[in-house]
Amino acid sequence: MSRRRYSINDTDAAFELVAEFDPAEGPAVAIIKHANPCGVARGETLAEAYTNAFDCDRTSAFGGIVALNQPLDEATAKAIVEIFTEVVIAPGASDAAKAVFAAKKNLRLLTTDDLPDVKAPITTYRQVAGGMLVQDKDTGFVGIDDLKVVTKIAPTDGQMADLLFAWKVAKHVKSNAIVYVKDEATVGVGAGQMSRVDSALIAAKKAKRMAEAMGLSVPLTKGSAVASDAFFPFADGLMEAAGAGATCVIQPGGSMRDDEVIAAADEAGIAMVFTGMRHFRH
Amino acid sequence: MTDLAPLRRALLSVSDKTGLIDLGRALAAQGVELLSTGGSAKALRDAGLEVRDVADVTGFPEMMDGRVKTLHPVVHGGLLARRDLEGHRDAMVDHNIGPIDLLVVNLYPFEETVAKGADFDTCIENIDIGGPAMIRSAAKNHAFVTVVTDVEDYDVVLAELDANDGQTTLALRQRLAQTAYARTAAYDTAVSTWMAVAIGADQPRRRSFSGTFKQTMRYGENSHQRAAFYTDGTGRPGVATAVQHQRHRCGL
Repeated sequence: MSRRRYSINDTDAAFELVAEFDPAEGPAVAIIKHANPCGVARGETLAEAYTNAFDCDRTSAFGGIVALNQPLDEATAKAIVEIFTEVVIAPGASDAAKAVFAAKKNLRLLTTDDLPDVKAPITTYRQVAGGMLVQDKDTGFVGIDDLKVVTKIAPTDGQMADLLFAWKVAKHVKSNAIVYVKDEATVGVGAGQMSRVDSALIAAKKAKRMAEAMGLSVPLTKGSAVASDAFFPFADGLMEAAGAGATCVIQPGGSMRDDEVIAAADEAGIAMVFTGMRHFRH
Repeated sequence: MTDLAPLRRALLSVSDKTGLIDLGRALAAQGVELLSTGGSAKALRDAGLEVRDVADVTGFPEMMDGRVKTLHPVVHGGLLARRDLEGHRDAMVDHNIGPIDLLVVNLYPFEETVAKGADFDTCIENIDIGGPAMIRSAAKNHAFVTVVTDVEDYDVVLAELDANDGQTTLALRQRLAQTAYARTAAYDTAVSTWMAVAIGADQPRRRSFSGTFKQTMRYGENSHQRAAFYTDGTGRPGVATAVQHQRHRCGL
């Protein structure tokens, strides 16, 4: 029996996240560190999806877990081995891709027969002192028809695609989650902060750092879509996102101060949609 | 076909005697014949109830220090016989097997023996074999048999007997059967967990985990996720044992 020298928890988080992206709609890649995504993207090819995901936060991707929604191919394998990666998990791998990995002793390739059905109802168990919390897995899903536009301006079709993409990713980010997305690639992920405004700030800061590293004149959060896994309790989180250049927002809504948040979005010329559904993750 | 099952004979064999006398009295008042063993039989008799010993029914004495007591075809046949099949009914007549329509068993708390620091052999002797065997037989045949493994279920059984002219509903028998299998599984979890430690098996190939329902949560991490809290029996002071002093009244 092989000794597992990789993180079960992180690899699980990576594969469950990438499975949100239907392979029929194109390749998708998620890169995970400590159970949080540091890059998720689609692309024309799997290799392009990987590069797009990697470009979200190259620093954090080092030593990460890479999950693919399609079988690993040679081009993607070559892109992955350019940095140290701990685990790659995919629904299969070509012989050529395996050959690329063979030389990398510290890289674990895991393959499955298939992607899990993310909508299948499953019971989850979380142990605490003296007992266990038994709950339904979060299989909540919103489609375009479930969204309610609450601002004066509505998102364009392109923005809508990015909003839904960001929402899928936010579901898999530890709360409080703020996720910036541009062209179906995350460009800033703020995770696990105790205040929402800090998550927004950290995500934008990471995007700024990546822009500098990549020699971009402006961070990719400029003109991005942003998702918040729970409502903005105050306008400050939204203002932070607007300051980072986000032009549209997806969030559950339902705060006592929704009116203030909507007014702030209108003031900033931002389009905002409510999902009516929250995705806390702990 | 009605899903109500009549209750003519009951076998009561409990470690926790809480509520036993009241249950026995209520059953006797319904005309149910009572079978019992050891301490339970004595307690019922002391309360003035008419009780038949299982040893009297099986025609076999308790033997091997009580290791073999209820493991007998007359007991298991009475629990497992399908009342709707002629072949099964014939077998009951041929072998002089009376039906056992209600089984009330709560198992000797193995965990308490372990907690008292008993030695290995004492712990082994305290593994209940006959009890779980009867529970599993009764639960399998819940189409006809009512099985009770928790004191907190006595009242609901009596309420059904009152409401349905001495019969129980299939819905109740199903719920009790599910509880019964979870109970015997939890019992074996306690035994195998203790044994793994006792023999120094750090990472046994098979392990099981068990829990007892404590409360339904309003919802899980999010409102579209149902959730419930289960305790693991360790009683570690914390969120599982804490007492709540006030409930919140509004959102947020």
